[in-house]
Amino acid sequence: MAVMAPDIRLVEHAQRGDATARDRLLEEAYRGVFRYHLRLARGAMDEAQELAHETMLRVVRSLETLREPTRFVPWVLAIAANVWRDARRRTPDAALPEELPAPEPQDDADEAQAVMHRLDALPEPYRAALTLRYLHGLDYDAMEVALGAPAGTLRSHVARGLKVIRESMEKRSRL
Amino acid sequence: MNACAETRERVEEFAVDLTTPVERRAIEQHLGECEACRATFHRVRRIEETLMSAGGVPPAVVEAGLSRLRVAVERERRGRDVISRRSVMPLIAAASLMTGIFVWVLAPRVQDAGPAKQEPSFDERKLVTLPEGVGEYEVAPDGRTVAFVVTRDGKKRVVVGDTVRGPYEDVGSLSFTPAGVITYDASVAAAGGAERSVYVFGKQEIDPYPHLLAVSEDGARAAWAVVRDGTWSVTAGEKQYGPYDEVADLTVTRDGGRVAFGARIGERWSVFVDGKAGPDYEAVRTVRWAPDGSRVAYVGRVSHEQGMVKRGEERTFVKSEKVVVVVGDVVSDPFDHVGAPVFRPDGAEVAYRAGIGGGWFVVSGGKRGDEYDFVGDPRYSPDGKQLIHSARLEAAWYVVVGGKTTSVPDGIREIAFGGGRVAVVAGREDGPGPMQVVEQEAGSGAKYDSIGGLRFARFRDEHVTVYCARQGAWHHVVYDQIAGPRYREVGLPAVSPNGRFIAYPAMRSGKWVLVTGAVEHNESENRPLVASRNSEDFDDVGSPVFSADSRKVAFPARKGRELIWKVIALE
Repeated sequence: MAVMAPDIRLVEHAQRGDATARDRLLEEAYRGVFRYHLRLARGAMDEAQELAHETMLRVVRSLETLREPTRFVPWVLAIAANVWRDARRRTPDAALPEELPAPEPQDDADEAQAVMHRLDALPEPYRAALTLRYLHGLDYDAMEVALGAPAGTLRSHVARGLKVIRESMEKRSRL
Repeated sequence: MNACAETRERVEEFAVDLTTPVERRAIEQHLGECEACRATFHRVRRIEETLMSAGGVPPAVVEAGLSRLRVAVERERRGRDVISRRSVMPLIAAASLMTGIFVWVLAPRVQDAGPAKQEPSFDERKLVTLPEGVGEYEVAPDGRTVAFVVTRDGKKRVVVGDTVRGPYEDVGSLSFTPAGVITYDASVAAAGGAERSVYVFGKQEIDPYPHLLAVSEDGARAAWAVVRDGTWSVTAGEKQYGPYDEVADLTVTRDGGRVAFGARIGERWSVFVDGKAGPDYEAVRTVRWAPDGSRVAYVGRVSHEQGMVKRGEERTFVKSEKVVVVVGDVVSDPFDHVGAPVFRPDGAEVAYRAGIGGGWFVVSGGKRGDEYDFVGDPRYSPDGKQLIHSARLEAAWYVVVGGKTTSVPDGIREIAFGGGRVAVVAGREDGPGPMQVVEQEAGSGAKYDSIGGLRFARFRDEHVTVYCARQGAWHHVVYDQIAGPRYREVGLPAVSPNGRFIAYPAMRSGKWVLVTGAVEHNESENRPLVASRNSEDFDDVGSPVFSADSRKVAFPARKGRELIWKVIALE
């Protein structure tokens, strides 16, 4: 599972000013942060790189303020979520629809690609929840910290996102 | 709704445990009886498994991103990076990342991209007509040189003044240093149709892309470390040092004339000053130059232990180390933890945070301060008379100035000094929580969603805080804790030498203006009052610079494809 979970000691050493520990921490965290932004940016590599860069700079600047090193992963992803929100402030996604539109069926090479295309087509809150739950392997407590929403809401977003993907995949298999 | 329809409707809620125990039992029972619904449930599980195994990232992309990140972190660590809307106010203007808004430096009275020093121009004039489809562009701090990216035949080229660089596959992060040296990232074609990244610093194309970069205070000189075939080397001016097995903490003196770095040969690390190795340690880190460039300070690890130990019935992994602070030839007693050493501006004294056991304290001039649960790296005020650091004691945060504590609501994100006063931005990054500026003795300002660019400005005999703040979708420049007009974005404010004017770029309704504010004294409230005025509309506005006599403010601006150096007379 794609989880970035650094040794807690590494976080503590980095907080104490150990540059080597900090660099290792950045290396471990960068991949996960990039993956998060890549999904939120619907696969736009350049945009994901810019956002990951900005996220990691904020992580470095505020590492000292992290009070629970055990919460490093959700803390970093909360910063990533803030960076995404800031970047999208002027062009927010439309309000959450009651019924999610099913993505248009595509001629995907394989099932995995088809699932990822459908993930990318989901509205942002669902995309973010599914990304953290499955691509990052976070539990709902950690997702609460990262996304600033109650666990019940996040479970609901995950369920609804899965449902849209599943129904769209069923349409694909009937084509 | 029949059982099949009910199950199909709720199968995802069942999968993520959103059902009540009664509903759960009913769905479980139906899945045991109905093959079609069981297939639906398995499809959901397969989607979950697919998502869990997805998310691979090309290693080259990660490595390129990490290289760039290391350089940026190093720049920030030195605090000598080009100041820009993008780099200084990421919280305020992060949206500019997405829109490709250009970045101009806020560094008045600096040099041209050429070798000759020139003062900023205060003659209004057209700079250049940008070609159709131009990408990033920048104006040098003195307003005399323009750089921009053009695409021809599918390749990108960088035009700097009257010279053309390239071709490149891609170009990014175009910027001028305070000294007017152009810098950017570029991708160049490599064998087999691949691309590789290079970093351009003035006329120097650093290939491969540097793992470490150190720049002089004026941005005129740089040193860098690269890795070729797993071997590290350092370049500083005409000199090359290496090979090493690893290099860290590359740093140059203020003028860029001397270089120091930690390097590993085999299992041992030393700090190399101008290529000459000091004593060896298990590890070295946080190398810092004295302001006059006469000596370095750094942290050396003398021993470490790690392994499983038995505590009662439990076995626990523990890791501990002993570290010393080395200042010139003087070595401190060992500590369990040490932060980055910092020299007093006169270079005569060094301060650092250190920990023994569970307690933390600041050591300055060899003397220990009070003990806390945690302390931040200390900083000296510009006059060297005050030492300031953050501290945490039993979950409460404080800012400590000269041993005197002031409570702050959260961690400290920025510190500013001015006229013997200290202000901090208090707040945490991990959530949508508020930030506020806290001034010692003067108290706290209003809470905002985010704050950046805190500094002091002098007005009459007072020093007042100036910063940028965002509340919701609106941005303000806040002067002496009073928010100015709201805009969709603002750039960092500049303050005139006589303290009577401020100026900053701002965006509203998709158009940019330069906001100039005349600072008057409000007799009734006995505090400054800013009367703001907007310039004409532009498509983009860069950072302003005031004339030495405070009578004019100049700034780069764009209308359509016309770039102009605009000058406003102040009254």
